[in-house]
Amino acid sequence: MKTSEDKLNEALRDVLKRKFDDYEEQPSPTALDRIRARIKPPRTGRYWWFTGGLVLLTVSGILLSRYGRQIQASLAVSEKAHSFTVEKAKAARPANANPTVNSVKETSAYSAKALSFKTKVKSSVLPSGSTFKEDFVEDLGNKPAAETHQPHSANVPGATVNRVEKVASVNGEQMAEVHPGSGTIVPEIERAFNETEGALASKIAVDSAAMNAMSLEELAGMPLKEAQIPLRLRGVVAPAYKPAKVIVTNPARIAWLFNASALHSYQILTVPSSAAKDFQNFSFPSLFTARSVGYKFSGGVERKGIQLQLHFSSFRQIYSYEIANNNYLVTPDDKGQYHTVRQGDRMEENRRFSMLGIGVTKQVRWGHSPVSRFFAAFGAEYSHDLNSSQGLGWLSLGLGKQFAVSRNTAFSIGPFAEFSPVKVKGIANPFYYQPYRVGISAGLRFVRP
Amino acid sequence: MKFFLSKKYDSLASLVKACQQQDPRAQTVFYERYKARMTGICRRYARTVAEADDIFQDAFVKIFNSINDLKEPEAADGWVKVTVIRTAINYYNRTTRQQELQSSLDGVEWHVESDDYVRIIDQMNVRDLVDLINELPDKYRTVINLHLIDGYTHTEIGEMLSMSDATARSQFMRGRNLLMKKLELKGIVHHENF
Repeated sequence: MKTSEDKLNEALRDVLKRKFDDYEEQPSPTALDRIRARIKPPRTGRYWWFTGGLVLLTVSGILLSRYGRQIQASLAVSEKAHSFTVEKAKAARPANANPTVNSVKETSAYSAKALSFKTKVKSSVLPSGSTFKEDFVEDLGNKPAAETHQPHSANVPGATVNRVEKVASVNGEQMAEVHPGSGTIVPEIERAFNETEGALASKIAVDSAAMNAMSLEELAGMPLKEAQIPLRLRGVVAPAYKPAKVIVTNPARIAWLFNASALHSYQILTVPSSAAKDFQNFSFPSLFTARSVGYKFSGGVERKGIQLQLHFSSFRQIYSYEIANNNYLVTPDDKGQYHTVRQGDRMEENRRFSMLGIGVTKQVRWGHSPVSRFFAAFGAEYSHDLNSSQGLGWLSLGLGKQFAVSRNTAFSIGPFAEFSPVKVKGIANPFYYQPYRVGISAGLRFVRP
Repeated sequence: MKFFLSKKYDSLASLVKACQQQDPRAQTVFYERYKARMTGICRRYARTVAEADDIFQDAFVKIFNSINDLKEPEAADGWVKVTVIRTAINYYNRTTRQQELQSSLDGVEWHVESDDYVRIIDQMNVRDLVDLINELPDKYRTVINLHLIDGYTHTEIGEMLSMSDATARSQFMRGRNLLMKKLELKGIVHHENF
């Protein structure tokens, strides 16, 4: 049963709905532009920006890699020395040498001489003493055994790792390593030669018996190099190489970097004098609160201490303030004095920044320990906020220590801070912000194998 | 509802999907489709034209930023309207202080029959009627709009305004009485003009 109230409501509803059914008004002509300025940017642009960053990173890595090869090519004199060694050994052999046991000894001696000569040549083209130190300490666990012809620790002040002479392998052939500049074979290699000499002689004797059955013409026509004893037969068994767990900071090689940071965000807030309203009673989060903690992930490459990295970071900007209105509250205090307090409407700001950026950092390392280094990093970064399409510039400073994790990996940790010298405008308010972030950063550094 | 401005978006679903992909052209078509009706709704819920413009812009920013949440593109008409109404409610919850809801007209008895109110409303220009509704205090205006024009029940209004059903019903009754008294005054003025 409908009451008179219900009937009245229905009558009012009918007429009002009918009245407003087709009610339309035109909005402000500039409304669409204002709306566009506030909505999220098209996603395609975001992807293009990210793709561009990846392409830039990839191209930079390729260029650095090619440049690194050129540097290696300039240092290829050592390879020439190796070739020269082989040629020298061939030329030193008598043209009419008989493949007998004696000739085997001679050949071994020639090879040994040639290797000694090779080492001399290499020593003469190696860089200066300072480069020696750098190569030794930084390349210690990283370079293949074939390339470890650098001076050992006895020649480097402050070095603590002792890499004694050993037999190394080059292109499948074993080769004796000697002290640079000494021109003599180390005793271990001589012993190895003596041990293998017997087995080698018996094999050659079998070959010579077969050749005795051949005619002189056939023997004369036989190419000399076939009679040469393969280098692999002259060598000795190389001891198992166990790389030391040392910090690898070889600046000439490309290193891959991955970092993660937890950062507390702060801000310098500027209220422009041109604002039409009065703002008061700003309230910011406490100095240490989880609400203001953001994160940052970085990945990139490094060469010669210059780091090129892509960054993704996220943090929140939280505070509140009042827009003063025209209401005034007069309240007495304890002493009976009256105070006038202007009232305001409380506004809450909770803005999330999701920033994609690219940055360049210069890292400096120091320290003498083979397993850890101190470092300092200074960088500049440009970031793009994916939510508001605004750009931010950052200056960063990081300190810390690197520890060797494995032969090619170092772990770094330390405090990190970054500051934006660029002011960014608020979205729904007239304020300007300069954010700065302080926290801790940890990362891994992989040297390209 | 207006015809689509572009043949490219031959259905509401395709237009919504294009907006979900943040196609600027689709956003323009979408805006043109709804702007007039939504401005009308904003004028009803707002106290002034300037506030209606603010609500309108806030609502469309919210619509474009959260259009990916719209799972059924065919239901866009209702979704847009609800979003605009909720934006208007939030606008006054956020920016206006508590108003004094008591009015000097509350205790006044009226002796006009319900048919007379219908007649008065019918005779009024719709903009005058909007102006009359705009004169109501914020909460009364909101409840009158929600219940009498947009058809929400008291339960729904209570949920939207974070109040009980009884409070919503009570506020509606008080707002309705105030509106009727204003209509009555308008009617008298109208008669006096003859």
